[in-house]
Amino acid sequence: MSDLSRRNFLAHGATAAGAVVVVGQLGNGSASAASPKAGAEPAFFGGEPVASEPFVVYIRDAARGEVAVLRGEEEIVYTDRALVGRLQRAMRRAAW
Amino acid sequence: MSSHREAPEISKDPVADSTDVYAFVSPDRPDTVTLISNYIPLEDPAGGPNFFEFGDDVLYRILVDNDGDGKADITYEFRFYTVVENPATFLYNTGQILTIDSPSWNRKQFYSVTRISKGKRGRMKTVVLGSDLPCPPCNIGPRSTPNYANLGNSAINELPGDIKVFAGQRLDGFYVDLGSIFDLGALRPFQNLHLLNMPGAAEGVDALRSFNVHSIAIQIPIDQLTGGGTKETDPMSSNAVIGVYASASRRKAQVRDDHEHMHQSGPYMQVSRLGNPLFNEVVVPMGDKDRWNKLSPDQDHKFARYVAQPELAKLLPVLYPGVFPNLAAYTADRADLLAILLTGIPAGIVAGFQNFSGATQADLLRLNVAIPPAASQNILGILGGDLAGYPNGRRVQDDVTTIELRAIAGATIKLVDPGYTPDGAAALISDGTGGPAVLDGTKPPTNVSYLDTFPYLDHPKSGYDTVPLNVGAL
Repeated sequence: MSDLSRRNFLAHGATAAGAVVVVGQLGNGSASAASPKAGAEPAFFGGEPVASEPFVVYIRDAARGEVAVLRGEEEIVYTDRALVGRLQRAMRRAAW
Repeated sequence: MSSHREAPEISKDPVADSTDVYAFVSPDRPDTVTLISNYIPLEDPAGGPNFFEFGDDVLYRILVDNDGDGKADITYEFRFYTVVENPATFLYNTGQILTIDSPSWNRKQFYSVTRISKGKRGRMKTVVLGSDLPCPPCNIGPRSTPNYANLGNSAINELPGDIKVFAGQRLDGFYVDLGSIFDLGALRPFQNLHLLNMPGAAEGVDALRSFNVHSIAIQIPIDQLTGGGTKETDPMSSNAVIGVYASASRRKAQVRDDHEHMHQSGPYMQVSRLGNPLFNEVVVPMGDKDRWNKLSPDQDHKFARYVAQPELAKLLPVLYPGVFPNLAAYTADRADLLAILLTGIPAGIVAGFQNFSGATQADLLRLNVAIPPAASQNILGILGGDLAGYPNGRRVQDDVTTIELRAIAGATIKLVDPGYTPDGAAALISDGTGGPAVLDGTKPPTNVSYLDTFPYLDHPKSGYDTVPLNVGAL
């Protein structure tokens, strides 16, 4: 998976059952790929990119569309059913 | 053991495994309290070339509840980092380590201390008390660490606020006959009375006598810990009681990428905690131990039923037939143990003493800071008439195994149920690790040594000098 960009991962990537883990870099312009729809967007994703450091995203509860972002010592949970749906479809398409 | 490898999950993560917690009024500085939390159980002193150290990825905490709600009001956080002087060698040290900053010591560890407390209007106040504080090296042997006492003592750091702190390897001060106790609850002094009896009484064997641990010790003026912010002198004051526990936490996520990097992110999640010795070890059943480690003490009402009807109290009459008839017949909830372990002992039970912190059930080491250090210490603590010992906090020498065995065997029921007559054995039962001296509680066991001054736990045994336990039996 190392040759995939994070955007590609989101579009075509793979996931384990019930939880998706994405390791990425904020601050390199790719944050928008994970941005939820307007209205559900937490401050974490808004405005300027945050410091460039690894972060982890996982689907906490697929049925509810709950996504947790782990960055630094923080965990931010928000709802993005569309993102979760895309990842689930990607998982189904993946030739695992 | 007190809490060495006490739960399935944490037993696989030694650097985060809290083994013992101590809290006592410092005998040589009675205006201060010393708090100690040990980690990394059963360190074989010869365990090189990668000798033991704290986890750089573990957040260590010592927490103090001073208002009785089972939640921390004051937290001391300890974070470590490691510096490798020369990555091109496999050696821990490339020559003698004569000073704590010796260039011959290849793998040094440093840490920071942060105090977090409730500030005005409930906001948390964070103060970094010290950073880049050095740990001592492990005790390797007479060639590598020829004057270990100097190395160890030079790692005692002074912090603002008249605080002392130490973090590093120590001799494990806890003593217990693990080999016998975990062999179906056998106690060597009484093994001839066991269901599967063996002939003759024998002295206990301290299974920890040749092992080290890693200790975090901090000595703090009392008025920085109490709810009233004063050095309490009245033992009956509610502000005289503090509740102490320790924990270790790991980041919520850890990912190994394809570039030999490991990413850790997210909040720290508690993976280990410890208040009263042996609580999670022998009171909480196997299926709940990992869960217990993850929760805050204010959630301990969920485990109160295990204290009220302890499994060990039911096992003793079975394992020692005819020895505990009164205990076997006692079916009421154990109000004595609920008080000792979960709320503290209220006033009126033990003359001149209380360490009651309120109705909230929480496994905390409760220390009444207004009780001065004992002029003549009894390692059986309050059971031995010494109000400065366990379960009033816990001193490094206290024989907590014997104290808790006797309490569970019924020695303390009479405190809350005057109609109960303890079995004669309840006042005698012991694992015998102190030899004859432990029977009257007046001396610590002969095979454990301590220091008279901070950090009180003795310098660690060296790898070269330590003879493996079973050599004599071969």
